[in-house]
Amino acid sequence: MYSAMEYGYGMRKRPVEEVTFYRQNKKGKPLKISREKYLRTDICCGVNGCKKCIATDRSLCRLEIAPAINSKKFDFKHFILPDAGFIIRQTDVLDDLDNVILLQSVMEEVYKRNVTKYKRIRNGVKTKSWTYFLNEHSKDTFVNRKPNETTDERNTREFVQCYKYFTEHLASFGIKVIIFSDNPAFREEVEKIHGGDVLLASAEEYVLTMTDKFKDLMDRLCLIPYNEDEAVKKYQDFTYPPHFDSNLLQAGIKSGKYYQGAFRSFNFFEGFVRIEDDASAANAKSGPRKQKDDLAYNEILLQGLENVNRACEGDIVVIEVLPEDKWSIPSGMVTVDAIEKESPLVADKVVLENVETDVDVQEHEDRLEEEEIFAAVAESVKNVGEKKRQRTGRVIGIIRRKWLPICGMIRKSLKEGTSFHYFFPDNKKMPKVRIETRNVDRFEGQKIVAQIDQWPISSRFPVGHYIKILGPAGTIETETSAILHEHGIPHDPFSKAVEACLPQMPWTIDPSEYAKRKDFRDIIVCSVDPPGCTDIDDALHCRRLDDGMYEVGVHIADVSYFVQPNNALDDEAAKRGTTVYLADRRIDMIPPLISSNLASLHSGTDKLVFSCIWTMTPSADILDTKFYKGIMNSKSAMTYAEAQARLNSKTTGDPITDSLRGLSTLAQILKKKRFDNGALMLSASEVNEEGEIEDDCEESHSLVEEFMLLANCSVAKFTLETFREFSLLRRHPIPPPANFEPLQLAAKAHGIKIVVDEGSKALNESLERQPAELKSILRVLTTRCMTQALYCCSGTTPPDEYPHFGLAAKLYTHFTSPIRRYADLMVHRLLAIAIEVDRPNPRILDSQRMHGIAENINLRHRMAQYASRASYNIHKSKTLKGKNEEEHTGFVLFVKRNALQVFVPRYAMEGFIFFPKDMQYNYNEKDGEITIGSTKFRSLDRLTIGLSLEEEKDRVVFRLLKPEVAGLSDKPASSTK
Amino acid sequence: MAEILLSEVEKYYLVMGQDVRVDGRSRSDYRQGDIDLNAVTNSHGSIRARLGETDVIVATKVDLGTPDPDRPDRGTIKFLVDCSPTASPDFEGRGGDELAEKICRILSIAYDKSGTIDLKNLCITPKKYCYVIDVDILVLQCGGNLIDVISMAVKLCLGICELPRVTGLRYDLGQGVPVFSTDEFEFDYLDVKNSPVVVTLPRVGRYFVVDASLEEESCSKGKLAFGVTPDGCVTSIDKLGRGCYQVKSIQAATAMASTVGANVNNTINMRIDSLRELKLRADPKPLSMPMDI
Repeated sequence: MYSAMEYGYGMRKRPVEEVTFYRQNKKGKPLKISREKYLRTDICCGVNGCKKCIATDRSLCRLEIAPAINSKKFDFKHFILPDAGFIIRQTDVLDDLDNVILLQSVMEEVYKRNVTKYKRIRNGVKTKSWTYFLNEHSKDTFVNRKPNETTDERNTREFVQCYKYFTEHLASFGIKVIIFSDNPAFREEVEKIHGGDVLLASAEEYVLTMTDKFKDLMDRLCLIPYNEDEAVKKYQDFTYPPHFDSNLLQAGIKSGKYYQGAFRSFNFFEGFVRIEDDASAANAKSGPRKQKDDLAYNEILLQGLENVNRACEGDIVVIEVLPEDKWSIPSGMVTVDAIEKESPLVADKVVLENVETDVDVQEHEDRLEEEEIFAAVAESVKNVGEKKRQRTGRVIGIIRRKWLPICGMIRKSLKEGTSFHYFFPDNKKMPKVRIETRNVDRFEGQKIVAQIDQWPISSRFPVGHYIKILGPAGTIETETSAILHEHGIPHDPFSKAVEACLPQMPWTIDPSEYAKRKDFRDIIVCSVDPPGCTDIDDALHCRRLDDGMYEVGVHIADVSYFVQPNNALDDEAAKRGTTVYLADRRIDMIPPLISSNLASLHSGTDKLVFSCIWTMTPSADILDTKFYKGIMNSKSAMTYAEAQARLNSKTTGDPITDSLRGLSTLAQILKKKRFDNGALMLSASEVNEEGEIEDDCEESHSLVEEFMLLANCSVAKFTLETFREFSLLRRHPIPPPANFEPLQLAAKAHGIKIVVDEGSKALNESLERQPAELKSILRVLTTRCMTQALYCCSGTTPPDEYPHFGLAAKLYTHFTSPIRRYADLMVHRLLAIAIEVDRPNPRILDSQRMHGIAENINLRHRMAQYASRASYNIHKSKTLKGKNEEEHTGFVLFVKRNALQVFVPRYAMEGFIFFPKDMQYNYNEKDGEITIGSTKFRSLDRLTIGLSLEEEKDRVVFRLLKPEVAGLSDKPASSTK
Repeated sequence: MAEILLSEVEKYYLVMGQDVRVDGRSRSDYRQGDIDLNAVTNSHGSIRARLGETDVIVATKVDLGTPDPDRPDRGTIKFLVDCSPTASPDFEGRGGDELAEKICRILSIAYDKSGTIDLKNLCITPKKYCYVIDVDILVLQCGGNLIDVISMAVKLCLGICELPRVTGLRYDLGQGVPVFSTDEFEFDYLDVKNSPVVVTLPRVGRYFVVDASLEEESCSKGKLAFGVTPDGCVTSIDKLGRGCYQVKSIQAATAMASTVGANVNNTINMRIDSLRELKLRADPKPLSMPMDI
């Protein structure tokens, strides 16, 4: 750890201080810990070019010796010394400031209060002209606590000591230090300890006097008064019940009086918290029959602003269940975003003139919306009766906020001259956000990212600040970056550290690899992929052995050779988790040099592969499975169509075609076996106009698919046999029967029977029996009812949860696409250790770590799916641009209280047909039906739908053409213009 | 007990001495001693005490425990003595166990008497949580009068033992686990003013002597150990070793123990006060102080 020189240094008398503190261990035992601290004299001040300090690494000294002067008020050379509160509050401002001194003690405080912000700032230190000063280890700035001094007092004294040190140290450069703090109490304290004459600035004070170049920063200020009382005074338009004290909450949760859980919102004033308590646990044990009730019992409904009490989507909240007479039912409404719907008040000028402030307008609108919901709820309670009412509760405390940056648009306030404006998030689950800006015009028509800072008790909406402009709303570029932002997908270019891990070009396979690996170069291996695919990760071969058996091989790109565990590249890949495919671009998990070039299995060159080789009988029974790290040379990289053409052709004697034919024959048998076993044939959205699945290259598709599935299953079985504790598996939980309720309702309405509770085989067979015109759309609906497949670590999951329901496989994992999925990469590493070509690595063979990885890739995977779906939707809507209304066949997927959720197979698009407010209709919740006049709508009904693009709002409008219903089939106002 | 071999002549000289002992002390004089502070840094209060050749380290550790079901509103103090083989060759292997057990018993009895330490102060939540103070005693050198030195060191140590203050109850681990302050200076001291020190009186020849050296001890058949509080009250009497005593001589010994013990105990109380004062001093602290009895 220490070099000899450092030892030598240490042997001279070094200043030692003793630091003592108490800690409590898990069992509650108080431990006294006393440490000797060796203070250093060689900690550098961080100024680039400071001769007074001993610096081990000059490249880390990034403070400029001649800092630019950007402020009119502070028109001298200065550095910035922020306190912890400032860093947390004004992170977005700090990001753009140079020459910041971050003290170790301050950063530790930031870490305690907000880990995300800590990480963000810590990353900033790597690139910006900031310095991270280890003040707790430096002899000049170390401050030991005096007896009878509070920790806060000591910390302030320490801070002042650092200020003194830097002021004196930098005096010879003519640089001063300014303490940045928004906390008036802290500023006072600093002045008291230092004895006056301190350079202090608040964010507002400093940023507002900055030169025009920094104009943008003004809007990024967090302007909530530091003092809570003042904050309450500043925003006063609503009164929320106060949150309880955290001790009281903890005691309540422990005693079972309150419940803790993540808040999931339908919209910003209605949502639910899924809880685990004795009642629901007891119910769950009493058998699957009662499962439906359990689910309802588990979820506690929260309705109304006061009951939701400032909770936002994803927050960890504490709730209290209300008395039974206040229980309610979910409204089942689909909210139409206020920015999209014509505001009743904007339309009605008379009312507007009477309204004083923008807040009032907003409040009025929201109240209308809320009233609508409650009216609907009251009506439902009447209709479905008291029995169906759900446990309802209210939020009494928030344990942890999940306030991530959100995308949306700012709507200019209707009130003249105000600096308060409203930010409308794209995500309908989030509330509107108050933004204070003096320059609202520049946000006109722009999509921006904003951050929620706080939700004062007296403010109807949370208060936040703007972070950055993404671009004009509606353009593909902006919408794509909004999608990436919204789903938290890391999409920055790969960092220098990551690039440093890439192999040097030109790169050739190391000669030693030829000796180590099994040679497949003479075997006829080929790959089949969609056209234009550059990251080919799988190739296949099949040959007849002398004894009449077949040898089949699946060769997967050996990415683990290029991505070694535990370096920057691996960390980045683990963070990204998966490659994200958007409609017009691809966000790589690993740099394209590896993904599209070195690892990708292009034909005609030697490639490193990880192979799975089976010996099979002609009836596709596996006799033997072997795994090798190998080297191969693909003879042909085909598209599905090319492969299909070869299969269809009559030529014989061509080795590639023969290999394909062999594979195809075996694949057909495997497929049949799989379906006989009860695998589900699911369909996402590939349905044509007639409601049928179309696939010209079915044979070549299923050829690849079958062997990939087989390889995954074989690998899963093998790795689990070797590593009981830390194998990475992919499981698909059996969906609870309650999930299938919409499907059951739809089936009932059409007089058909779907068996949902007897396993996948029965389900598949009952779907297969249905009439052709319904079959495909039924599959779409069934897919919707499914649960998500998940990655899991075998050591942290009970074995009976391993199976994959959809594939009817007892064990399954992902092995075949390491270029685009991190899971596969991990499986490759595990397998390499299992077949003893790699040495065991404690970082891989660790069930807790593996569990963490599985959780992360599950999240990344889901987010990637959402992002991809959103991106495709935008692109599809672009194809409608400038065209007249198009007529398409559509289906009703679900019947909602105030809308029909419809599906248009032609574009694989989903949308809502909203019912106008004044329309008379009858919603039958029990049967999932809506009757309008004489027309009845049920799930799975076939409709004719008109698709058009609403130009100003860039939104696809779904219009019901057939059956014709007045009010729904009228020409939209925009197109008649 | 550690024994040394003495010749008959030496024994005779020791036994026949009047009010002047071999090393020049009178019968009720103690030897010189000193106290090292903070001998074990990670304990909640520790000292190393030397008196003559006898050398012990005592350290206290505060733990969280459950009260004795018989006494649900009290905490506990546990003693553990370790006689190191460095102290005497007799202690090698399990040799020191018997002595260690004996010392533990004497201390437990002395501290168990009501009025010495109020164990109710160690209770946090009745029936559930209390402080448990583990007093670990390590005998480094056995130079006579071991039990007295240990008892003094134990009293000193309990006097400076820092009980971290309870700041609240935490419910996430169980039913209201106490949360202790993590602040170095947020603690309470135990009130040990009235707790006893042990005065052991071996009879050498016709007289009882205090603070017997190893040589004197080997000339005596048995000894009486008294627990004495600062006001001279005798809380316990134990007979150690062989031999028998007449009632008269027991009375004489008790009277002697009472005066000497009160004196010693008051000195210890003074030392505790000055040690507590030192804790609050910011400037460089002295590493040791004289015992001065």
